[in-house]
Amino acid sequence: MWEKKGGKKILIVDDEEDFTKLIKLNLERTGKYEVKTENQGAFGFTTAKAFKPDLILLDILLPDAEGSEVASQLKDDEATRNIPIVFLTAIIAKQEVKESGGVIGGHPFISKPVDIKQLIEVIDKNIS
Amino acid sequence: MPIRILLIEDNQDHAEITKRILQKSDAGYQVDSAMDAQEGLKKIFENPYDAVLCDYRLPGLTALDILKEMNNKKKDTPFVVVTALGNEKVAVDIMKEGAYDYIVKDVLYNDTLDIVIKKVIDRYKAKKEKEGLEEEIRKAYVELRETQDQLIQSEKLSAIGQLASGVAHEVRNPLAIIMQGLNYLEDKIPATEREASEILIMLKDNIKRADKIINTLLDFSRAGSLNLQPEDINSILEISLNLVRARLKFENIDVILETKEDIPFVLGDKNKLEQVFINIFLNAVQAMPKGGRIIIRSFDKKLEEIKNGIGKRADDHFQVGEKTVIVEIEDTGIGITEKNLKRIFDPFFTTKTTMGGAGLGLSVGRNIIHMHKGLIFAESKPGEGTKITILLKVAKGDRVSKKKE
Repeated sequence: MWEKKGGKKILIVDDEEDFTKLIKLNLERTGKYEVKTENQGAFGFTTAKAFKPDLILLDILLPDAEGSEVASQLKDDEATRNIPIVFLTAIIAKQEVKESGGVIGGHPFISKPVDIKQLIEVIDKNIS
Repeated sequence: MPIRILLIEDNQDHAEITKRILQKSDAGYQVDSAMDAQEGLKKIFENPYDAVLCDYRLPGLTALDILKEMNNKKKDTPFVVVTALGNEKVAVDIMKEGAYDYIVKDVLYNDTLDIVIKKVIDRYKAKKEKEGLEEEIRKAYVELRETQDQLIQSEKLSAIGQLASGVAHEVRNPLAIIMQGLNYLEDKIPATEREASEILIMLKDNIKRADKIINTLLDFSRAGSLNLQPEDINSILEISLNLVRARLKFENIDVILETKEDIPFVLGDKNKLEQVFINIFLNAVQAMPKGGRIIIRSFDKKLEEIKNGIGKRADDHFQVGEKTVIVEIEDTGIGITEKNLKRIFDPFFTTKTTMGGAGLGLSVGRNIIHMHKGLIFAESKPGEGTKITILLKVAKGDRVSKKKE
């Protein structure tokens, strides 16, 4: 495997299993990241608390819990409060991306589909 | 209110007799008289008579000529012709010309005159009432049709809004997976495999293509809020034109700019209006594959004619008498058939399937113009070209467009 312990820890919360699996593969083989996937929004917070990631990629539209709910749970807890969140969304219009300045509810976001190079840029920019 | 009658009769004795008969009636007639056709016509057009009683044969002219003149000028007053006995041919002619009735000067004249006049006045009233009702029905029908159209339109939009988000979610997630899969394969395929690398690029381009359609769809379904400011329409037109100028030149299309100076500022969202104009320009380009001409006009006008969206009702976008700024964009292209013209503002309607048009440009355009409380129309003649007309609201204040130095 390409996984190298010691890289930046990324948690991706998204119900699309194929997507999270490929993101994990693509990020980890750069050698820069250690990725954990979580396909259930409801577990997003607890997984984050246990994994202590350096950044969370969070799908906005999850079937069992809205991404914004997960984000507020994270914000309410001392342990996860300062973890940067990057939202992932499929339903935002280009015009809205332009108008929002790339920020939803104070968090940056990425519109799906995204090229891995672009994703890495955003991750590196937002990682603490 | 007395009933006003005009009596046109050149024979003074006959006039006097008729007057006396009428004055005996319980109807309370007020009789005015004219001695010849000219005087009669003048009085008919100047006064609101309830009925006209006219001798057939007058000096120079006949009652038929008076009737014809009234018809020409669309003057409708109950008109009764007095004819001599035995002249039934005349009676038929005048009835054909629209006389309400005729009466023969005979022994029964005394008794029937009052009845005939009352009858024609009643008929006139009934006719007017019927016309009034018909007009009301017609108006109600037009309103109903317009409301129905608006309802269908807004239902369509709301359905499209929901559909758009659903489609975006369901299509973009698989696209995102495919994209990540391609990203994964990119690194697996050695740079020496040129063909495979090219295929990967092709696949990524096609993801972008599908994503672009989703984007347009989403933009369409949420035209969003407008940032309305007083704007110089001529400058918005010029900016939009500059953005497509290179393309126009390449396609051998001449631009004729007939923008009017000193037209009032419009209340508009600059970016959104640019989007609308650019879209219309690009449609024009596609309608002129062999080159041609785009004529762009701007002017201001006081609206006088009632038509779709211009009227007196509160929900009309424009009121009759209102000043508006009008933009016309005309091309010399292939034109649009009457059948297609009705649908060009419909979402997803396109004739440019081979060019990858999503069929949303003009319907987005119409959304934007409607959000401006403006109007957009299209006229077209196949083989000659198409003209898009946009009406916009004038901004408050007295700023006007100035020629650039």
